[in-house]
Amino acid sequence: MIYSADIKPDQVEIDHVLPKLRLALSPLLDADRLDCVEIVLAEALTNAVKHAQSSGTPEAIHLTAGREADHVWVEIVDAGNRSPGDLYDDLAAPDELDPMQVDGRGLSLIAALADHVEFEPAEGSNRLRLRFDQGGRA
Amino acid sequence: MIKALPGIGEGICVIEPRLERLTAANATGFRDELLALLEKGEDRLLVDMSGVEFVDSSGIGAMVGVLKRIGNRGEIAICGLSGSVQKMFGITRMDRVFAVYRDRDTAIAAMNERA
Repeated sequence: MIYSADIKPDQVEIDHVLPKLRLALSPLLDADRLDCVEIVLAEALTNAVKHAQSSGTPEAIHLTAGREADHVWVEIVDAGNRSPGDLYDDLAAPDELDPMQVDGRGLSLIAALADHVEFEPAEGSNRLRLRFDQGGRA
Repeated sequence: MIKALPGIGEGICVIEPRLERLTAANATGFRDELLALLEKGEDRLLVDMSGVEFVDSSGIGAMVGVLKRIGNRGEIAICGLSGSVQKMFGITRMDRVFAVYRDRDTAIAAMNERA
């Protein structure tokens, strides 16, 4: 494992954690891919915090990151209520959304910039696993 | 959260975000400060993002919210994008929604010409 953190369900915490995660992954990914990781993780953790808050749980969100042969993975587990299983299905690309909408871009960004998204919802344990290929798409 | 420099050129108010990261943690406050400037009559805004290292979709949404509020009665332009902030503006097409300039001087010159 390259990095792990327990994050209080508070948006402010995300801005403390992400620069540390980026630093931990910096030997493994180029700057462009690190930008993608940071954007994706900001959106995913924001969603996790919102979900934990709306579920009324004070339990921490678990963030872990590691490396396998040709990719980096990052996993987020929140302790909120069970999320819909189709959360990441049939999402429009970010450039297909109405550019004048003020919200609703997060899931599209996650799906577009991660190389693979795996989501396993469960009551009290929604698990999102993201893969970023080394030398992957820009 | 912002430093406002009014009275630049032809009625331009330059905004310097006092933030390294414009995200869900502060986007609403950022938007509200810009909207307060609009209420004071500052309707030609130039947001200099050169000190901002990261923007998430909430930050983008805050900018769009200000743009929608300005409508046709003024303008909001952006300058100083780099790194992941520039990438975010490209992915979300904000580089086509906003007038985006390389730096502050270039932006002010272009906005003065439009006045």
